[in-house]
Amino acid sequence: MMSGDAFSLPSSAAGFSQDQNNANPNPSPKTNPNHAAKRKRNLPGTPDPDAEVIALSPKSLMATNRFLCEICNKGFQRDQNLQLHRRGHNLPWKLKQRTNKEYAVQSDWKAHSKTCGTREYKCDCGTLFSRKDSFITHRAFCDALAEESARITSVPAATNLNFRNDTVNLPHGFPNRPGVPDIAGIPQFNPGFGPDFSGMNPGNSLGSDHQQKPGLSLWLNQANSHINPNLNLYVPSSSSGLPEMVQMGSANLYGSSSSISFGNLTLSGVPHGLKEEGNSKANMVHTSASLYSDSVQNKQSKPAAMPNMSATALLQKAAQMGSTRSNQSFFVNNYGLMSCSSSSSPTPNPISLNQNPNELHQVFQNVKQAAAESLTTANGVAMSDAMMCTPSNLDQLMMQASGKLQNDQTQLKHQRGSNSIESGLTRDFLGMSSESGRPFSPQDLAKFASLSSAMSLNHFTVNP
Amino acid sequence: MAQEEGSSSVTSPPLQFLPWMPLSPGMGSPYPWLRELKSEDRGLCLIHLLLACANHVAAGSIESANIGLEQISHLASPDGDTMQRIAAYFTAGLADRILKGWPGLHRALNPKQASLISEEILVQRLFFELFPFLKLSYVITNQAIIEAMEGERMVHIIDLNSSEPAQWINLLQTLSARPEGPPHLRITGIHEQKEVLEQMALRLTEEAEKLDISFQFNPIVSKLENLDLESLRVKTGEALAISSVLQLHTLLAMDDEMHRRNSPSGSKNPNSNHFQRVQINQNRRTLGDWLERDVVNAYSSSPDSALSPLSLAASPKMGSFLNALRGLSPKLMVITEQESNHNGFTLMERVTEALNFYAALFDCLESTVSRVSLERHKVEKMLFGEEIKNIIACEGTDRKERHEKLEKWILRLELAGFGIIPLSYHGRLQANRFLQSYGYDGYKIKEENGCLVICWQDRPLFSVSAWKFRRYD
Repeated sequence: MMSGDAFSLPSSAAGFSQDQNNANPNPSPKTNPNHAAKRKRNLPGTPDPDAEVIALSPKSLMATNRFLCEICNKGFQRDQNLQLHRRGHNLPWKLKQRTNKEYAVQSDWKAHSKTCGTREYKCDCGTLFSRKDSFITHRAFCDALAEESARITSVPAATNLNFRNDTVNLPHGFPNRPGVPDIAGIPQFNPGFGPDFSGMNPGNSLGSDHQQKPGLSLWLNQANSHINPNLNLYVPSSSSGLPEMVQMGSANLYGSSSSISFGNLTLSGVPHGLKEEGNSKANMVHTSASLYSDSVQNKQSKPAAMPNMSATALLQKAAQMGSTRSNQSFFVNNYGLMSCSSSSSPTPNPISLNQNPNELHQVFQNVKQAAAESLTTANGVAMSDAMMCTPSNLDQLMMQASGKLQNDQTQLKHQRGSNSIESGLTRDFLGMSSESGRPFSPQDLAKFASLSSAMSLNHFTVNP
Repeated sequence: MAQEEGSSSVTSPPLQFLPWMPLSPGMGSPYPWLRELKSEDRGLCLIHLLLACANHVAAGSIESANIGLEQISHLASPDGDTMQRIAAYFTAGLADRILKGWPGLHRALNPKQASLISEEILVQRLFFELFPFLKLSYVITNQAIIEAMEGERMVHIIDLNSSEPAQWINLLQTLSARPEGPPHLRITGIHEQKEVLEQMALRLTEEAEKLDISFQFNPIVSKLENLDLESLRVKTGEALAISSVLQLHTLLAMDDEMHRRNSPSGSKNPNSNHFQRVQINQNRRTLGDWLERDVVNAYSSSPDSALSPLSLAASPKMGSFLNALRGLSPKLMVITEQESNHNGFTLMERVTEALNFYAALFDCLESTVSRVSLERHKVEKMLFGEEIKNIIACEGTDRKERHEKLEKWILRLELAGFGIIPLSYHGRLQANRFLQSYGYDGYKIKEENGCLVICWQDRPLFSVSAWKFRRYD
């Protein structure tokens, strides 16, 4: 494979030539001329004993359109010509293993076996490559690769569901925890790196925080290497860089793990992701899995008690509840929060709850109804909509919820001279201020609770 | 959808006709049925109560606000579910704001004390660990630096908040792998605390030595607003890059009241079109862009609108800082900021925006860290809680957490003479790959105007943008 020096950057030609060792170089000018080595041609008249030679009639041999380009339907006499032509279409080079192809001319067969017999690189999206550099370039931009990684993430590599009460489930955990170690800069060297890592077994990376760091670095270095394959800026050259990386990894473990996990981001000398026979994928899976396992563990050890509605979803819901009720009688004044400059006071009708217990009841009846409506229509889709609960949404909420507008005289007594222009915004949404100064009687709060709990929230399974 | 009238899981509330008695939540609460509330109902209650209470605070209705706070206290808890925690910190902020009306009380309860540096360092480190935001910012920033500094032999980086060594360790490692070899690297780190800078210096020089990179670290112990940029001694031949991670917004802190009173015609009638037209004429350079972006706002909005010229005309500190930066002729400036408008003039504006923003951040934690985690509690209380308190309770030069949205930063920086460098595909690729390796669902990276925005479940949270000094002008 490649040399063990961490920092040497092989040129693409050199890398390529090594891969060509198994292939027959084709001196024919028609096919790929990029070889370093040339094999001696067999003498004509002594064909390769393994080749299957089939006799074709002169007529079929001379037929002009035996090979057809599927893209543009152009016909060729020889397969080589067709392949050359197909290159112009910029197709991904599809390779098949050990095809049973028939050739009249032996040089053609040799040229073909170069492609068939070559060690191939397979991207996760299914495309095969015979050339390493094209493989690299492709992987850098392959979307399937991205999805694959995401899929790997979601596969729980761990069954360790312990709910760690005292320790923190940090994605890139501190190496020796319980509680918080002396983070403020006392280095913690963490040997005992090698065995775990060289195992590269996603299974045993559980609970071992060591692996994620080189894993991360490995992964990221692959990312780096894919960025400029032609420039070979970050292509590390060693497959034996595995132990090297282990060394560098452990050496980087001084100090707190935060810098470790991040500081290892671009370790050169990390083995390149390209190993033969899909090993690269395995590599990445393993190292990534070491990250994922820990993070998956984190995921699963969070309280699985209840699928709580997220706070952002709650806010969105609250805003929607507010915005769907535009026709309620007691929403008298619609003051936008923004227009605080115009501070004409709202209707000076202090509505005390004692006088109008029904009002409060009414509020929540309508809230319930609106919530029901919004839920039946949205059916939870609203919750998953892009959560851009802009001020306008909550504005509407405030606007329309400003039922109990009051300019309670008693309030002004209590203002501590902070009579800002916002005084006009006095809202008494829940009828909190009243003459008696006791906004919520027990009965009202009771109604509040009972009604809100019945607020068509059976849609979500939430346990108290 | 079946409408069940008060059945479900709520036990029939004992109708106690006790007089109102403020009791601590839990055992002695007169409302035991409150505990029966489903988490979702409780969350909705909390939202309503919070907004109502904030309204009272904004209006100066102390009594009502007090009662509101009390009600919320029955439901909120820093150890509960997401909404409960958010409510706990928001009410703390509201209470702090009210208490400032009694300066003596406030000072007695909040004595000036030298905060524990180690705690602050810890909290910042926890934020780095528990979220991908800083790491992503560093990945994107460093990629932009690498690309901009291709071919440069001498690179100088000014770090406006030099607290996390990982950022530059990563850059050192990447630079050492450059085909043309690493440049001579100089990093000027700015921070208020000497100890943090000492730590940085130690770690970075260690790393540079290992990688055999010619490296120099210049610490500057200073508040960002007091920084004298001229004293930074940028050498000729150096290529300069500036990294600002969640710092720039602090320079927007200013005495809002005075500014509004003193601005030319703003005090009389901030809504006047005349005033706004005057502002527009003064900014001829990007008139085209500006009108393109914001025609409606320019002529119709009140000063509360995020993009009104009044608010852009903005802080003197920011203006002079950006000018000084331009004077250094940086090749690149990468800015990471919170993607939310917490700099509104009115309290309600800020409360509603902050509710949405911090709800997403608390959700992140809820999805990724256990509820009993001490670290999570620390981040929520000492980082987010303090930011929330600053946004709600502080005004004028005290209010440092003046986050603004990307669109506003773009306008502001363009007015100051900077031009966007669209972040490269490679940078975005690296960031996405990092996110995948991070292993959590839910985080996304979006592109917007050549900048990258890091989102949690489609809710934008942090933006990263790259800038160059526009030489023509």
